[in-house]
Order: sequence, then C-alpha cells, then structure tokens
Amino acid sequence: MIWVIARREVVTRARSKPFMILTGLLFVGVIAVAILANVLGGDDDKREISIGLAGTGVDAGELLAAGSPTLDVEIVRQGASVDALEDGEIDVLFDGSTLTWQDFADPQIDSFIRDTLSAAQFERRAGELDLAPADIQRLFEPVDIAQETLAGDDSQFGVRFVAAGASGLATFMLLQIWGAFLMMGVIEEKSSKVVEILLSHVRPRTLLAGKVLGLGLLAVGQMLILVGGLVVGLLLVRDIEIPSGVWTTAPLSLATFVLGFAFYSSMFAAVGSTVSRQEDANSAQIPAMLPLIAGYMIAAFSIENPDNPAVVIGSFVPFSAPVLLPFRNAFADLALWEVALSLAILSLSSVVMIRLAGWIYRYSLLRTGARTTYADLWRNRNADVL
Amino acid sequence: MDRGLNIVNLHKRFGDVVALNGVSLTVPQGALIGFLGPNGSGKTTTMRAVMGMVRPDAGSISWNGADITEAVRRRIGYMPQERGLYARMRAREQIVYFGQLAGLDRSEAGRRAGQWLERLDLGDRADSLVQELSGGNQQRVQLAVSLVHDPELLILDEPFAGLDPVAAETMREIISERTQKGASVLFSSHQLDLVSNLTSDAVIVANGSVVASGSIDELRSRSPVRRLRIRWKEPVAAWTPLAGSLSEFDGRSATVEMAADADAAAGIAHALRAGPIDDLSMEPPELSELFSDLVNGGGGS
Repeated sequence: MIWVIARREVVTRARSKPFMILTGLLFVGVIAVAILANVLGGDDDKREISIGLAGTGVDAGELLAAGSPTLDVEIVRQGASVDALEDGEIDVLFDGSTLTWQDFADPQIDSFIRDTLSAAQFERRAGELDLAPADIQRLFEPVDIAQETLAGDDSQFGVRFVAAGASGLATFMLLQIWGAFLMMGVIEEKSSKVVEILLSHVRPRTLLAGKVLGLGLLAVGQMLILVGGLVVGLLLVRDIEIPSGVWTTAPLSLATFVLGFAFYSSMFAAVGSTVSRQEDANSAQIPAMLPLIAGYMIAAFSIENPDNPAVVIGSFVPFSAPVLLPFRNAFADLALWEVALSLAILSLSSVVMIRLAGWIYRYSLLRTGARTTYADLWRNRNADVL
Repeated sequence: MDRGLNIVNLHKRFGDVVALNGVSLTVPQGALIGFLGPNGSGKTTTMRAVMGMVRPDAGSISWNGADITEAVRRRIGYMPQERGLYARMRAREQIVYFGQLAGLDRSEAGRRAGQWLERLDLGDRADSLVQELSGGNQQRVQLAVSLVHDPELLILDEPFAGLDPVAAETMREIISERTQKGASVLFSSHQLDLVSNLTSDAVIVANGSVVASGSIDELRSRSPVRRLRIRWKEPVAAWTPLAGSLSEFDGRSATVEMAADADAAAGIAHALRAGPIDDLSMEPPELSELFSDLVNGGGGS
C-alpha cells in the first residue's frame, strides 16, 4: 500500500512544475560548481607569460627562458618595445635594470625575474669567493620547521572546511525545499477534499509515510544523479584527486540526509495537517522551519570552533542532527557509536513524528475551514482519532 | 443471519453538540436504503462512523455480523459529501490509484478503470487531467472511484447533490444495477422525490435520532392521518365533512384530513349525500409531507 502511495507521489511530482524548477536550479548549481572547480583547479596549468628583453648586455635571457614550475616563459627580443607592452604582446619589458609594466607590477612575474636573476648573481659571486657548490648549498639550507595543529593532521583542513559548509548548507536547503513540497501535497489533499475518500482506504500514517517515501526517493534520486553526474564529469574532463575522506563522509552524509529527510518531511506533514488552505501554508510551516534554522545557525557560528558543546549535543538532537552530524563529521572523524546513536535517535523520532503527523492529519480532517491550533491539539491530546 | 450492515445505538458528541443520539439502522444484503433527514441531523456523521472517520462514543457497527476492520472498510465503496479528487491527476490514473488503494493489483485496476470510463461515457477524456473536466464529468470520475473495486457495500453521502438530470439518471441506473448484483447500498439525500423513485425503504433521522424507518409505504400507512379526496360530478353547495377537517374545498372537490382510525365508510357516505361522486381516494400523506411532519414535530412512530 505504502508503495502504491509512494509511486503516485513520484509520478505526479516528477511532472510538476516546482520539481522541474528545482531540478533546473540544482542543475545550474552543479554546472556552477563544475566551472568553479575548473577555475580554481586551473592552477596546475602553467601560466604563460612573455618577457620582452630590450637593450644590450642582457644575458639573463637564457636563465629566464627556463621558466619556473608555475610559469612558462617566452622571451621576446625582436620588437621588445614600449609599443609591444601597450599592445599587450608582452607582459613586461626588461632592459637589465628596470622593469616596465603596462598598468602595475605583476607580483608573480616580478618575483620570478628577481629570484632568477638573484640566484644567478649568487652563483657568480660564490664563484668569485671560491666557494664550493656544497658550501653554497649549506648557505641556503632552509631551517627545518615542522607544522602541527591541535586538531591533529590537518593537511585537509581546507577540504574539511568546505565539505562541512557545503554539506550543512545543502542539507539545510534541500530539507527546507522538500519539506515545503511535502507540506503543499498535504494541504492540496485537504483543500481538494480528496482526503476523506483517501482515509476510507488507508490510515493517515500510512498515507503520510507513503508520501515521505515517494518524495524521499525522488529527492535522493535527483541528488545522486546530479552529484554523480558532476563527479563523473569532473573525472572525465580533468584528473582530479578525490579526497580520501569522501569515502567515509559521503555514505554518512547520505544516511543522515535520508533520515533527516524522513524526520523533517514528517514534521512538515504534521504542521501542514493543521491547515486546509494554501494561503495558510507560510505561517503553518514556521514551527518546522525554526528548529531547522536553529541547527543551521549553530553550525554557522561554530565553524571556527566545531567542537563546542552546542554542536556536540545538537548532533544527537533529531531537530538539528541532520545538519550538525555531517558538519561535525566533516571536521573530525566521529566514533562509530556516535554516528550510530545519532542516526538511531533520528530514525526513531521519524517514526514518532510520522505517527504524530497522522494523528494531526486525522484530527484536523473534521475541522475543515478553521485552522487547527496547537492549543486545540494539546487540549485534545488524548482524543482518540484512530 | 445478520448479512448486511448493522448500526446499533450510535452516540457521538462533538464538544457540546450532540451529533448522534442513539442511531440504529440496518441495511440488509442487497437492500437499497434511503437515509433521509435535514442538514445537521446526523446523516454524514453516521456514514463517517461506518467509514471509520469518526469514532462513536457508544454503539456498534458491524458488517455481516463482524466488526468493520480496515480490510473490510477497503471493500466499501464510499462517496463522501465533500467530493474531492486530485486535480492534477489524469482521470484514468485516478481511478486506477484508488482501485489499488482498495486492494486491486495494478493491471486489474487498470482494466476496471477502462470499463468504468466507457460505462460513464468518459472514454475520450480518460487521459485528461481532472481539473480540465467539467463538473459533471468530475462527478462521474468520483463515482468510478467509489465503484472501481466492485464493493459489496456502498455508502453514498448525498450522491445526487449537484448532479445535472442526465448524470442523476446515470447515478440512479448504476445504484439500481449494483443492488441487483447483490450489493447493499445506503445513500443519504434531502431530495425526497428522488428517493421515492429509487427505493422503497427509508430511514429518517432528525436531531441525531432515527424518527422513522421501514418501507416507505409502511411509513405512510403508519401515519395517523389520512387524506380523503372527493370530486363530485356536479358542483355542490357548501359542504362540511362528518369527521376531520376540510383542508381544501373549491365547490367541486374537497380534501379532508382525517384520523386513520376514523370511520371512512361513514365519511364517504356523507359525501355521497351531497351529490354523485366522480373520483374518490383515501391515502396516507406523501413521503415529503410525512418527512416535514416527522422532522418538525420530532414525533416518532
């Protein structure tokens, strides 16, 4: 029965306008990420520059032409002039003593030229002082200073930082969007009055569980296809290295997202059940939005200090766990029991929330028109509505 | 024994409002019962109680002698007073979906949906979204939704409300056809002429209680009032009946309201003395008159 309901949700949602818009937006987002990754990752391509050498006595040409690990250098002698600089044919004009730039000095090119020429000068003067190459090496031997951070091996701090921010933000936004979708579906049933005939066939909690399942499949499917497409696309286009942490982080993020989805969409279903008109949807969703926003705020304020008690406690509370658990995990690998406990609490709460949502759905069925208030629900908390 | 729907002594309060105050009724297998009463008399609440939408405070409901479980309820065809369909679902999809919810598998639901769409002249609109259909066609889809699983019991809340004459005729045909095939039908209505055309059995409720039930003829004959209608061949002078009261008199015909146990023969003899009679009838009140008497007077029988 639950699959029949889930199937209807998938089929009718997949051709609905809001879903298509969301898919389009996510697609654009994925493309943007891909482009961004390409631009940022562009650093492993050597930058091509051309240096114009003018005047005589410039024997540095050969040295500069060797370039550096990050620069591919073209030496222009013929026509190395101010005109060529103005036309953009060369990046800099060097006459042996002065560097001439078009607008301002490019620090990368500037330091490349200085370093290359200084190194040549060192070598020449060392030769004049009769220093053996080994002595020169000793002269320039760098001091050996190791680095460590309190958080441990943090060679991947940047990756973790981005992963934490991105997973938190994505979870927050997707839960909110899909929660609103689910709520709209519930209100649609109530406002179109189809609910009474539905409930003659199925229990409200079966109905709601079917809706959560159907939308969940759609949401996860959409995400996997888009993210999977992005990863495959990036792998094909360029040789990126997948951070090793991904293989533990991704399944955890997915599991948290799935359970968080079950919990939050049930909650949106519950709050949606209190109203019968689309006009009331905005105010009705506030009780479901607030805890989600709170979880996100905790994450946002804790990004410098991801171990603080609010985050730790919040990662076990079902209202904030969907955002805070992947957030915490992105900074430090969590113990298995912590993850298991948090996910267990989340799944149990989802079951409770579905039942509560079903109860509210059935209860407020008989109060069409007026909104069902929470005070009213509380007064009638023992009401037996099947 | 006990084949059919049995509702015994149903009570339900909503806050201070007593919705049901001891409603009892029986729909035997294959019977077609009209459930009559003014708005707010408890018809919808009773039907919702059968469908499990309302849990009664007291009383019992059984089908073929057993409690109505979820599985039993799935085999009931229900048409709520508040009609409703998914607006953005195609007509066929919708019928198939509710067929599946009623326990049919997908292919069987699909086959039956096709049959119903043909039967209801919706074959060419099968793939239209419900919101694109006219009101009358939406009602047809609604009917198909409540019948697709071939229910043994039909609970129809105001099935004729909002139907155009053609659709009402289709509805009448289909309801009769269902009962002939052995289904039990309970339908509510406040349009009494439709009820008299369709069924011979009725239950009348007012203020949450059953005020009368039985065959319509029997209900009428149980009335303490009889109407004696006389038409003379020639106009007569002013005339006063022997017993009862004269409710209509135009010089040539008269209607006398008299007690059912009054001496009818003496009354007719008295009329004959005024002149030769062309036409004569003595009948209990019509259902509609009975209805307003019962409902307004609150009197039971």
